[in-house]
This record gives sequence, structure tokens and C-alpha cells, in this order.
Amino acid sequence: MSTTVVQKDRSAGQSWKRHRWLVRIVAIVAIFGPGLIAANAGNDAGGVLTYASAGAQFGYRTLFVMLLITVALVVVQEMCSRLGAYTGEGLGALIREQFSIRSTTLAMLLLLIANAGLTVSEFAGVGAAMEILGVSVYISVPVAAVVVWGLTVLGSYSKAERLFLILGLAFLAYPIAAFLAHPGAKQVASNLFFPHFLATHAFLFLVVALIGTTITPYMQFYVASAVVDKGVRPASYRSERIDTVSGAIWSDIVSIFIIIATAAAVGGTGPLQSAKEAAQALVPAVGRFAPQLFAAGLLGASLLAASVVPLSTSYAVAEATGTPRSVSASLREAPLFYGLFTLQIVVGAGIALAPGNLVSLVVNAQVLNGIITPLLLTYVLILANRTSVLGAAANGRTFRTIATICVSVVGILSFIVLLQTFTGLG
Amino acid sequence: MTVPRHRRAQSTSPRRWRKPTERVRDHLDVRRALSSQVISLAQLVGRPIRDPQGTMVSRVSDVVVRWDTSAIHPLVTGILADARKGDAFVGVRDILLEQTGVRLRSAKLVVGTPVRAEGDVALARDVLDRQLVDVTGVQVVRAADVYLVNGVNGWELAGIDVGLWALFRRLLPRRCTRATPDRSIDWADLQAFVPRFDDTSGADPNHPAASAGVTGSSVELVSPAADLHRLRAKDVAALLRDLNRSQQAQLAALAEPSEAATALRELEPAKLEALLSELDENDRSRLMALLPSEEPP
Repeated sequence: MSTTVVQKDRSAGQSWKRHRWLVRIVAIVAIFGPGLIAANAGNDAGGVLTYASAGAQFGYRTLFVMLLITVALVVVQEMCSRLGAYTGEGLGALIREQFSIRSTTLAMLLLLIANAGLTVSEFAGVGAAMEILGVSVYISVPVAAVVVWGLTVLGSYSKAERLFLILGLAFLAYPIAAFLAHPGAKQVASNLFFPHFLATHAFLFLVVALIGTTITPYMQFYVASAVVDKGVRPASYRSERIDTVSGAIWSDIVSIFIIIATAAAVGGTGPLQSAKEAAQALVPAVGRFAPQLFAAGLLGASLLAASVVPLSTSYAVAEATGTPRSVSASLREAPLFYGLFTLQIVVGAGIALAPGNLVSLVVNAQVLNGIITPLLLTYVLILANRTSVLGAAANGRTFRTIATICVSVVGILSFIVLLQTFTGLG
Repeated sequence: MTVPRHRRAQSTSPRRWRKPTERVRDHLDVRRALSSQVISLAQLVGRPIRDPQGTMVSRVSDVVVRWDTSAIHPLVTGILADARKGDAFVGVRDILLEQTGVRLRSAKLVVGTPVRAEGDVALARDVLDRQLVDVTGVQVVRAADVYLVNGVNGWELAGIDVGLWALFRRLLPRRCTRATPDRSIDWADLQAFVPRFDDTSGADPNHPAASAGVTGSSVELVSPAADLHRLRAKDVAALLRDLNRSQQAQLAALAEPSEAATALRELEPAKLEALLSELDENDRSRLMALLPSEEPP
């Protein structure tokens, strides 16, 4: 009897040794907990492929940039969340009420362009994911466009949303892969806490892409609306602020892990040529199933955002113009709302079908976002500075200075990239 | 039955084709006629104020109307002129209102520092670009333009425009556009939110237009008429979805209590709590008495 028990114990011990990676996964998930899972949901196709590109092209060099971006992200998200909690209104409505009609139109046009770029990258993400699984882009992208449009307009999107979220959890393999790849703690720490910049156009281009995909204009509008939807009041804002700040930090921790895992796997090999290369970063965690797992994650994240991003643009524009806005309204009742949604899906899917490298298309879309970001941030900054809007909760002198520096730095970097792109200098 | 040749020829004559064109022409004539009788607030703000000799002395900053529960269409009481230090008030008797600007009746004019009286509403600040409740159409709308008409008792607030064209023409140079009503709603069908008269906590003395209808200056429905009592629970629920927190509270407080309570039951607990927190003690307890109490765990 006792012999059997010992034998069983031994076999159990050997089994645990064989599955040491499983123990590590459980340990890591236990440490980082639900925050990591929630933050992962915010990582769309554009984000994952841009972070992977940064790791592949420049190794760990962009880690310090990510640290600075995290500070800026925290500042921006906090302002948006505060505006939502204290005014009970989304950014679209606030901009319409607080700025001239011309400034409002400019803001909505910028948001439309930025989000159209994001929608392109989401459909490119679908194409890239399905290419890994052997399905042609010319089949996967049109089918995805029809499915996303149909699910959203016909109102059964919430069920599909859960499936997309579960698929997106595949990216949680990145933190595990980052640990298992043994990247060298010293090197990572040195790149994370000290600048290792390169004075090249390619480096600056990617930095702006990282800014565009992390402090994306869509998120600013989304955060303010989400706070309003949750019914957060000024009295309960303190706990909401902790949520917003920790959410922003967690989100960037996932992004940093993607860069580390990719840098450790394929760092320094130059720009990513395909999504399959990006999947190599997951090999330490899941072995030969890396491409399939990456494809599943990319597909889930892309389909999730391919609906949410155009939908949030339609909401913001309809909110600003004061026209009907609801997925429960009929096409006749809300023509602008559905028209914009459909236009973004058609344009997004159409551009994603253009021949060329899908990864670089995604990164270019993030650069476009990076260029637009400081312009829309200026609106947020002005709103958060106004005592007529936020009363005593308006930005104080210190916060105003930090926020202005963040917006200015992002603006200067975007301007340089824009200048370099058009003049060919740098 | 065959149609005689001459009848067939007649049926394809230009007359048949003229019908739609005539309709369009009629439509345009009506719009032109209307545009000559109404003044668009969006087009008027920023226009010059000239003295009887034609010299520009200031610019129009806003138009003030007086809310009077007995009048369906509030009367214009004066304009706010852009002065060096803030705005100056000029009474309606001292001016001639035109779409292209304002003309002073006399060279000797007494202007006063604007002091908001009870019932005064500055239209550009409190109504233009703001959300209003269309009680008849049961919808929340945003005023893309505000129209004034010259009625029996003088200039009055006729209604608002919620059309996209009205919004679009504000982007164009003023000389290229004509203030033709697009999708207009009669003021009689509307309920507007304006800053509470006794609340100056959010007021910005330098930019009064920036402090209306937002946090710091709580809002109230300007004419809590019986119209709101006509709203059924599903109407109240539909309107609540598109209003901000303080506006939601105002609507919930003024709608028929049982209908409002039914509509509030559809809200998520956090949103309901946020809305109730905006109400004063009386309204809150009145509505809470009609809401189902929380089930014991």
C-alpha cells in the first residue's frame, strides 16, 4: 500500500518536473493577476504588431521610450476619466459645447482619420492572422468585414465579443515567453531605465508609432465614455482614478513584455516582414504551436477592435452633431451613425486588401495615430484646464505643467517625423 | 384598353417632368421666404453693431430672451455687445435687428453691465450647441442653430434647427450662406436646460459662454410645463439614455413620478445612484419611495 503511494508521489514529482513551464505559468499568472488580463484586452492588432516590430527592429532600445510613454498615458487617461466623471459627458459632447463649431469639426475629422487608420490596421491584423493559418487575405478580410458589420448592426455582437476576448487572451503567453526566453535582466533593466536612443529616422518613426498605438485618440474618447457609462460621480472618482492609473500601467506592462519577448527571440533582425516572424517570440512559451496561438490571439484582438473602433467614432461624431446614436436604432433613424460605421468598415477592409506588407501597413497606421494624437490631446488638455468645466477638479499648476510637457513632447516628435517624411530628410 | 395616341403623347409631355421641378422650386421659394423672415443666431453672433451713421461700434456677442411661462415663444429683451472688459447689454428698444448685424437707433446710447435677471437666457451661451429635449418627438436634440422671428410683440425665439446642413453652413463663410431653416423644431415642443439662476459656482466672468450647462453650474429645465408629464416610462427611458447626469436628474424630477420611477428601474445600479445623488432631498425621497427596495442578501 505504502509502496504504491511512494510510486505515485514519485510519478507526480516527475510529472511536475516535466511540466515545469506549467508551474511557471501558474506562478506568473498568480503574481500579475486579473489586472494583466484586463490590460491585455486593450491590446489590439496594431499594438501587438507595433510592439513586436519595435522588439524585432531595435531590440530593447525602445524600452525607455515605453517608460516615458507610460507616464504620458497615465496623465492623459486620468484627465479623460476625470472629465467623464465630473461632467457626466463624453469627449465628443464636451468638445461641441466648449469649442467653436470649426474646432469641433476639426477634432471630429482628426478622430475619424485616426480611427479609420486603426480600422485599417485591425483588418490588416485579421489578414495577417489568417495568412498564418493558410487563408488568403482576399477571402479572410472581406468575410471579416461582413461578419463584423452584420454582428454589430444586427445586434448579436455581445455574444461574439466574448469569443474574441477569449481568443485575445492568447497574448498572455507574451509575459511567459519573455521570462522563459531568459533575456538578461541587466540588459533589460539598463534599456528600461536609461535611454539608448538612435538618431535615425527609422527609430523616431517607430517611437511615434509606439506613441500612436499606446496613447491612441480612440482610447481617450473611450475612457471618458466608459466612465460616464459606469455612472462614476465626483464623489466616487478617487477609486476610479486608481483603476484608470493602474489600468494604464498594466496595459504598458503587457506592451513591454511583448517588446522584450520579441527582442529576445528575433531582436536586431530588422523590420518584421510578416506576422509569422512576430509569432517566433512565443516559441519559448508554447513551442511549435507559437504561430497558431499568435494567429488566434491576433484574430481575436483584431475582430474585437474592428467593431469597437468604428463604433466609437460613430458615437463620438453623432454625440457632437446631436444626431441619433444607438445600435438599437434603425438605419433610417440613425443614418449618420450607421453611415460612418459602414464607411469605416468598407474603407478599412478595402485598404487592408491593398498588396504589400501587412505589418508595415499596421505600423504606418499607428504613425498616423501618433501624428494626430497631440492635436486631440490639446483639446483634452484645454478642457481639463478649464475651471468652468471641471470646477475645483480642473488641473492644478503642477499637473498642468506635466500634462503640457507630455503633449508638447509628443507634438514635437510627431512634427519632426512628419517633416522628415515629407522632406525626405533625416 | 389602349391609350389613344394623343393621350400618350400628352403623358410624356414636359408637363409631367415639370412637376418635380416645380415642387423643388416651390420648396426653394418657401425656404427663401422663410429665410428672409427669420434671423439665424449662429449667423448673427459676431456680426457688427453699427451706429446710425453706419460706423461699427462693437460686435454682437449674444442675444438675450426672457423666459416667461405665459409666452410660448420667449421675447428678445436685448443683445450682449462685445466690450473691452466683458459684455455690455443693449435693450431691444434701442436696436434694429437684421441678419447682417445690428443697427443702433440712436447715437446716444446707454449701455449697461449685463446683470442676469431671473428668467433671462443668453441664447448663444445657453441654447446654441446645447442639448434640448424635444418633448413631442421624444428625442434629445442638439441645437445647430437658433431662429428668431419678428412676431406681433416684437422679436421672439421661434425655434431651433437640428439639421446637419444648419451645422455645415456655420463652417462656410457667412456671405456664401443663407439662413434657410433645414430641420427646424418649434420652440413650443422643446424643453431647454439652462444654468440655475442662483448658481454661480462655475461661472467664468471672462468667458460666460463657457460656463453654461456644465459642471459647476447646475442646470434646470427652463419651463417645467405639463408637457413633461405626458411622457410615458419608455419615453423617459429613451431620453435618459442621451442626457448627461444633471440633465437626467432634472428630467427624472419633472416627469410624472410613477413613469420616471419605471424608467429609472431600467438603469444600472451605479448610474441610478449617480442620478439620484444629483436630485434634491424631496425629489430623491419621492422617487425612491416608488422604486423597489433592495432585496435582502
